[in-house]
Amino acid sequence: MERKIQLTDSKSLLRKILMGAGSLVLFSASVLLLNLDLATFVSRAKEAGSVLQHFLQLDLTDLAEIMSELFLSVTIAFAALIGGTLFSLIFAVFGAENITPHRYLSYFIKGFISIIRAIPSLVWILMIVASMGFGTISGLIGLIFPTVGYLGKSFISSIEEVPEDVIEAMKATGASKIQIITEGVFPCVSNMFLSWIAIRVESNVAESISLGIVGAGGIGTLLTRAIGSYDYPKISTIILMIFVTMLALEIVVNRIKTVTK
Amino acid sequence: MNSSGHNPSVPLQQMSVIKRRLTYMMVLVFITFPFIYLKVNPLEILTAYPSIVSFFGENFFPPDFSGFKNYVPLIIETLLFAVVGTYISAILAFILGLAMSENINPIALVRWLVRTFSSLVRNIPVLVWASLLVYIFGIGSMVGLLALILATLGFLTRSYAETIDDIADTKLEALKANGASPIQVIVNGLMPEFIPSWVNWTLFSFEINIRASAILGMVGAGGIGIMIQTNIRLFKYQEALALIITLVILILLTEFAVTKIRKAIL
Repeated sequence: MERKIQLTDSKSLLRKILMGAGSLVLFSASVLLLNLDLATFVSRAKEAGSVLQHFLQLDLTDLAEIMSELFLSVTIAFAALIGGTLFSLIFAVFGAENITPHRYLSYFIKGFISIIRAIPSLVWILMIVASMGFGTISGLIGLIFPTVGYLGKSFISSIEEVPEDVIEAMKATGASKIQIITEGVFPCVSNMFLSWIAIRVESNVAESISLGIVGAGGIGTLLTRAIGSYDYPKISTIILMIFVTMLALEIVVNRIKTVTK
Repeated sequence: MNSSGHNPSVPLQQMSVIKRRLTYMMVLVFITFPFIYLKVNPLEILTAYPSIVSFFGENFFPPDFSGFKNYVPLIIETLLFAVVGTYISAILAFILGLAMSENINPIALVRWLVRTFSSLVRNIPVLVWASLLVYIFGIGSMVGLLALILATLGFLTRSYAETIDDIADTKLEALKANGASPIQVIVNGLMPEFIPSWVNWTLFSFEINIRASAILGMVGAGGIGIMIQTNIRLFKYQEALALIITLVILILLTEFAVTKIRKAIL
């Protein structure tokens, strides 16, 4: 008397199987075409255990140096964030379609920002370092580009979401262009802007640390040097400090995000 | 609030004057401190841009596309790395997401371990991971792939776990009450609800992986990134610019395609 009731009809089952098979083929084809050096990797991985053991110790003697370099990285990140925010605000005021002085200017700025965004931060930094040499300023300027790429786009889309009625109503009361922006648009978007900036804090600090690895100063440079001199305890200490900093930032940023929502 | 009686303007803000001034002061300190600490004059940044632009104009322009034939394998390699990296991290992150979800995994210790792992992966910058991996395993394509996987694994795990918990809170109780086995709960209850956001996040991580080909260059794994770096180091700026333009077009095309796919599927 028992009869099985099919939960999924055979057509959608077939579709699922086809999609599954298709993605499996895509995956295996890609793996085969890549020709990964799996054998060397496995042989190195066998020795990795002993290397990892060396990492299980900390060296707190250089903690002061590590902390000050870490602080330098974080400061560069914040300086770039401030500079980037300023540029992004200017771009957003002229680039958002609902308040731009001219439609083509808006298209131009949007296109410009999407090109900035498309170039990875690391490439920006390589280009800036090529033209200015290593140093705090080139790191700072290199970091401003990706900041503008992210914040510029986010700011523009936030402003464009401001309801047309707000701007319309202000125009009707005879508000000037600047008044519309400062009294009408900004109050609508300030919380969103704050949360965009907060989100960007994390990436900026991460990128500022990474930029040090390329050689632009800060904790990253210290890490590269420690790796170069096989100083295992120092490497572990630096990485632990980076982790603690980033974790603290993540917690603070999540707090800000929930508050500004 | 306005002491001068001649000016009957009504203040628009409702914050008290003291509180407002205090906020302004704090913001001002917050803005000026980094520049004072770094001993950088903000104007210096502004004045640096013209010289950067002129350096670009003189050295990077015009882009030299004469070697474009050699880029094609690099583009393919970048795409392949991104595909494989995305697949592996999407599957791993799904398993880890299940293990991190309170509603699916009852063992608190495992949940805590996965949470710590995901936070560790997420909060240590990819380039730090990459240089550590190179240090341990040497330069190679496997290390590049690992770095790519780590680049998205951390945040994917967290996002998946959050999505799974959201679904579980509302939908899975009923299935459990019906006497469905844990596997049935996952396959028939969770998966159908989860797949749209899975597709969404996976497409997002594919985009990140294409961008991350610059990082692959750092670990000597191949793709366009390594050639950009090599050319800049060798002062072949015009070729580097050609490669950068190629990468930008690749990234913009990916963005475009991903948006299209997202619209078609969801």
